[in-house]
Amino acid sequence: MIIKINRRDFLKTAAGLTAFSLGLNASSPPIFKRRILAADPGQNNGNILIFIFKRGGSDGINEVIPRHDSQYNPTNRPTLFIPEANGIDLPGSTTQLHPRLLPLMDLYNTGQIALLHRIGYKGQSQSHFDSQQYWENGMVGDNKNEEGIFNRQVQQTFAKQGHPFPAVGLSSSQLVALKGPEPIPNFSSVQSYTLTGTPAQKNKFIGRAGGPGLSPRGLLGFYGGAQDFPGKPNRDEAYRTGLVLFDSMNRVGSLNPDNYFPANNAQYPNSTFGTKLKQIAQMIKELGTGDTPPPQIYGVNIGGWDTHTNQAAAHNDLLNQLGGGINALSKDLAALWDRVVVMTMSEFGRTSLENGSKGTDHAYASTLFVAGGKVKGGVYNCDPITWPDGAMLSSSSGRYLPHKTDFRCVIEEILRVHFGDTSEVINNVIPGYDGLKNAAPLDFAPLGFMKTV
Amino acid sequence: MVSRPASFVYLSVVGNVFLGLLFLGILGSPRTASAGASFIRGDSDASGVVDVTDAVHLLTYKFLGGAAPTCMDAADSNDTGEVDVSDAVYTLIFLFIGGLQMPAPGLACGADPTDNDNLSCLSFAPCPQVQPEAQKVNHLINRIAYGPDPETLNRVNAIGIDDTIEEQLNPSGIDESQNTELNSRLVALQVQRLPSKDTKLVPGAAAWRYFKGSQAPPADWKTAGFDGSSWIFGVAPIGYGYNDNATVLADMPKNANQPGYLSVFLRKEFTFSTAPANLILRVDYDDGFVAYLNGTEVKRVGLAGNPPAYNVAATGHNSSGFEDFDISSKKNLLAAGKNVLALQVHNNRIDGGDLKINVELVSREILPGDPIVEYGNIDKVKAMAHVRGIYSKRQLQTVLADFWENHLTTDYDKLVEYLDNLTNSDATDAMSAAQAQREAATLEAKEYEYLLEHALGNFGDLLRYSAKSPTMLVYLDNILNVKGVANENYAREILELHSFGVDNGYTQQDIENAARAFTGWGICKVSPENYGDPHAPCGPDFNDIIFLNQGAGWKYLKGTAEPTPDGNGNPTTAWTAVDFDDNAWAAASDQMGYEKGIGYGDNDDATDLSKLVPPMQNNYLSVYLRRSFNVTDPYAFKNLILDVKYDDGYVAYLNGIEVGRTPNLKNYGNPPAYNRQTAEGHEVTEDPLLVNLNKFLDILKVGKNVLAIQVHNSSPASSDLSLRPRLVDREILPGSIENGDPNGVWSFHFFPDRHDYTAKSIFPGKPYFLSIPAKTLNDPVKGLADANDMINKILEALPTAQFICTKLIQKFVSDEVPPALLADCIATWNSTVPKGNIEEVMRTILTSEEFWSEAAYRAKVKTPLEFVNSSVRALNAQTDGLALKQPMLDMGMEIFTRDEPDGWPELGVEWIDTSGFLNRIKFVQDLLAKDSTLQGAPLGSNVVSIFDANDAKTADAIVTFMNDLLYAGTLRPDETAILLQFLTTDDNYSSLPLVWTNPPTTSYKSRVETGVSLMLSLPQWNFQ
Repeated sequence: MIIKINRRDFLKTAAGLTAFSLGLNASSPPIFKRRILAADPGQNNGNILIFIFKRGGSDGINEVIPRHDSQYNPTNRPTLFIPEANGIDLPGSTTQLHPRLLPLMDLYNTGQIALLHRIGYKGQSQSHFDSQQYWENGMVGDNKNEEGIFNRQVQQTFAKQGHPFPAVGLSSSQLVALKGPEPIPNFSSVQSYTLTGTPAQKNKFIGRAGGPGLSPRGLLGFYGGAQDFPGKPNRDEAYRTGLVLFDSMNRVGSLNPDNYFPANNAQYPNSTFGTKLKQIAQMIKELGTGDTPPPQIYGVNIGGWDTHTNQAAAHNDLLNQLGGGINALSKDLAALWDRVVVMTMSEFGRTSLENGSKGTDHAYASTLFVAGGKVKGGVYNCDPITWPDGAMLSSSSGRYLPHKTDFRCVIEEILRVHFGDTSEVINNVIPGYDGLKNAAPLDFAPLGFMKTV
Repeated sequence: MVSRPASFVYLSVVGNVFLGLLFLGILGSPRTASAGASFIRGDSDASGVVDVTDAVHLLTYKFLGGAAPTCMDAADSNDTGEVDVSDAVYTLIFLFIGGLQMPAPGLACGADPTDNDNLSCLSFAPCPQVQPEAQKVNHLINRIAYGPDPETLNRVNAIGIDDTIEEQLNPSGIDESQNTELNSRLVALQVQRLPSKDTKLVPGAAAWRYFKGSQAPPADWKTAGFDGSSWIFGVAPIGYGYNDNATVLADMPKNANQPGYLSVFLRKEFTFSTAPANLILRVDYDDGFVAYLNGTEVKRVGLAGNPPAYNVAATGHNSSGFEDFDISSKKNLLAAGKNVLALQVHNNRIDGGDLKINVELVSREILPGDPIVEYGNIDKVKAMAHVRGIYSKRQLQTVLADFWENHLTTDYDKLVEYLDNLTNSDATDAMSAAQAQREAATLEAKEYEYLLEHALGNFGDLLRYSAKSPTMLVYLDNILNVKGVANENYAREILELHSFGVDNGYTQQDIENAARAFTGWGICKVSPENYGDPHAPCGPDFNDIIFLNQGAGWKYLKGTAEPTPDGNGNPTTAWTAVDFDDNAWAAASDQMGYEKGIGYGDNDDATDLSKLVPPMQNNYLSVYLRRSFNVTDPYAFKNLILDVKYDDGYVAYLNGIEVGRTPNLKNYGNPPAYNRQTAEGHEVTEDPLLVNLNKFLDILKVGKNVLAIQVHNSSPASSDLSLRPRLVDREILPGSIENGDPNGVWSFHFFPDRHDYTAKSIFPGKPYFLSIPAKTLNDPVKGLADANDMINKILEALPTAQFICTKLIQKFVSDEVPPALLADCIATWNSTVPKGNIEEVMRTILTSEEFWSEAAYRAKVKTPLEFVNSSVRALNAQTDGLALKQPMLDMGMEIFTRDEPDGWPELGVEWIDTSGFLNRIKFVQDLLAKDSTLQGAPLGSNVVSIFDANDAKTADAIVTFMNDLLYAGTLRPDETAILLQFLTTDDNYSSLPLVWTNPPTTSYKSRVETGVSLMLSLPQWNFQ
């Protein structure tokens, strides 16, 4: 039960700490500037990734409907089958889109959304907790590793490039994909990310870490000082998280969500999820300063996809939110859209056969959507040639849709093309990527959904 | 006490540091709290060797703001009692020039023989450490309790560690009967009611005759003798605004287009069979009303005048569901035969935004029996768990109860939704939202109380209880698990999350077979004496008399256009009226009814619309139907029920009034247009929609009546459509327990006809292999045995011992599980009969070397539950428990309402993030800012009084007191200096001495309070 987190020697970092004071100045604190180690992070191109984790395992078969598979029929799905008359045609493919994903059609018709089918991994876990862990730590089979794939991306690139606030999770508890030794701020809403009290009271309470000629004061005197029991579990994470908290709170405090008006009449879904997407858009537009880009990776959850019972209504509502949310982002961020990628994730798909409770159970592969100005739109992995009739039930148990492409291959393409990760960086972010690819070239054959120029 | 040979050395890898063994002999031997750690002289950076990096480390600390040495004595190379540049020089000379010795203990691990200096040595990882007694006491209270408070600290110091452990392992020996801090709070969270039986004399959402108050109604309008037949019918709620009325009075508010009116007058006739013991009037109203029974006023709210004139305004009041008014004193107004309940309802202003009225009249019989103790909603149950965690003296039992509750987690919200959607056999809604919340919360509390009672008992009892607990059966869908189409949800999680742990000794095939073993498991509401009997009679008994079924008389119209459009072509309900001329409509087959209907596809229609030209498929979406029938006495029905099998949706009307609508046509217009398709599909083989017509009996006429129905398809291309209606009069037999019966209790039930009796092979090739032979169909006892046998196998299996021991060690010792301790726990687990005695396993853990190792001390990150409970305890703060809900939500831990079945994480890394830390700080600030001496404060503290009681009246004394209480004195001098500075400066860090006075000054009080909030905001307070 060892939690393998690459520990950092916090003490060495803190030794370089000078006047880290919360105050109201917004200068970037030097503790985030670290020596360049190992892989060269390259130049930061300022691009942005928003990932949406659909918690619970989503029914990809009803999202991008494989019309060419005769097993998609009312016998196998008595209440969940979507008649052809109700599906939305996807020109250029033999598939249809779920009717509640209509808001994605603007993006589809302009070639700005890639609908990837059959994304999963070899040895698919049907446990929510394990499979989410694999998707988020990028290490299939290691359910104990708590270091997120995008935390590694931050470690390997943005942090080395000196980005003071490289990523953020819009969640009351941090997404595993963002967890790790490089603490990344998280909050459920911009408004909640503040302390109460007068500025003087807050300043006194928060204090400063101290340094040459400056005595430590208040809470930062502790978080910036020596650890209480160095070497004991979680000390580095806890102390560094405290420092990141006060720095990021100061930065986010400059935002006023009540005074934010999305561009191009973008309508975010009227839900917590929609509000989070809207605040992400505001951060993208307002948190960059000078040469420093805004945070570059944003993570957000949307829960409720574990539809064991009465799936139709619940799935409808979720797809309304998902489709509406991505549509709103594309409008609101239209001016920046070439620099933005929005990606969905979900730990597994659902059984091709409906269960006895008008729902579906845990299965293998599912869909993954990628939207953005530099995306090569279309439907991937869902065609009669690579998807023979009956593939929906072609897992060894005869009940599930197997994967065609490993999810890490999708993430790799985004990191490589969108952020310019070198092969060396990729192999650190997705540990052992080249080895995985060599061992299973088909699972890791790039889909080519990102434009490279 | 478990002991290993003294030569055994346990090494645990934590980071890159090897931590040594604490030998058992040390336990219990008295030590002073000031005894410092064992260390190597000169090893400033605690690397295990003295080298040049020690000198660099020291200089970085002194001059570059680097981290302080964890062991100042080690950094004090020349043993002068001060750490300064001379120590670095001394080390460098020692290393490179020679001629100097390192003072004792020298280069071998040892204590400081000159420990009379001001230097501390809190930890020194390379050396095996002797844990000071104060830290041991602190450790024990951190782990087996929700942290220290002054009283617990004194108690443990008085009776010692060993006796404390034994006392807590046997909680029944701790008398809580006099614990008023706990008991008074528990009682305040409960509600008690006497068992009772309600009969609705006038049901809610009924059809009423009403009169718009543009003028005064006839003087005798409220009397039984008044002839109201000329008044119009409307189904309650009646009013306008907020889109929550069944009958909308669009002309009521005054505006530019209409004069409006202030009041509306309503009448409802009813009869009753048994004179009521108590009479309850339940009213959902906006804004004011007067209610009359047979002409005499029985209740009024917000209206003046006798009677109030039609044009007077009421006091404003917003609708918030039914409010109950006991009008038992007026029950003698009731007469045999026909009675009339009448109301006048007034707006607060003629141009107001809304008006609403909905009424029930209930006869309530109080039944014999003890009062029923319930929890109104889950907030009360959450508070109950907090209150126990904070105020109970049986701390270990409470800590374990919370652990088991989380291990076997269920989601209250899902249970509420399930209960709220139930109907009774008379087709009425089984219960209000409030009752659903009360029943669900009480079930959650009952489960928690079982887990509390058995927290130190046998694990098998916990798992079996959970498997049959209605909360779990609903939460993980086992109630939906039926043969042929098994639902795997519970079968997976009982293995993955509750017993074996993920991928530990089972396969996907095992899950599928286990799911089959669980088919037929469900819940049923039974009378209290049958609670726990899975074979007790389930469900109400009733007799149905068919009133209207197959036969001639149905007329239909294809929905190719609106049957009765208004001048603008919009749909109207004119075609549903009794006297509508349907001569032009076609006659349906005289075989049409509940068995064969009208429609196409599935070969179940007496009138087949696919055989007509054009066929329905792809040509039109709806069909309109009418049938007239005769009634001799509308009030002679027991429960007149419209029972319809349908595909895909319909709206039904009785004499022109809408009486029923399928959910897939909700909000699709009044009436839905002819070309509307339903939101979702529905099959005739699925549940029919039953509508109780009792509340519409007034609409029925003596003589001819008309039932009209419009049926809609889900899409033009749909393969089928069907409508199969009937009317039945249902008599519910005495003794029936309905879903909504407030006196019934939810209990595990086995449904023999849902069980899969074929053979099952579970865990093949494993020592706990279970082969279940095929069994006699519908044998309830044998069928139930399948899953019971499997649970017994699970409980005997090694993976269960492994997984539960692992979780307990992670909870009580460290996230990283020492293999030797795990082996000991498993050995204890397997040694008891039956296996899995939790008290014994806990004794093994709490007396283990690993639990008492230096490595385990403060090695755990607090969960929000631990953080909140320990913060309140540390300050002797007061809370009703309810005020802790929001901070727990903010910190990301909602007990009893977690969506996911894996429970809240116990591992530290899961709870370290910026949002969580910020909300912890906000909580302690809030806790300190609120004063518990205020009357009825839901949350608050009074730390000044604690310090006064302990004679801590200077900044120094306050810091020392808190350092000792919270941290066993382990805050370093540089850290206590920060706290002292905080207490003795103003907001701008200018010097401001802290001066105690009686009474304390505002400045003293606020600085002490914010200072203590700082002490609970430290990184240290997140660890235990």
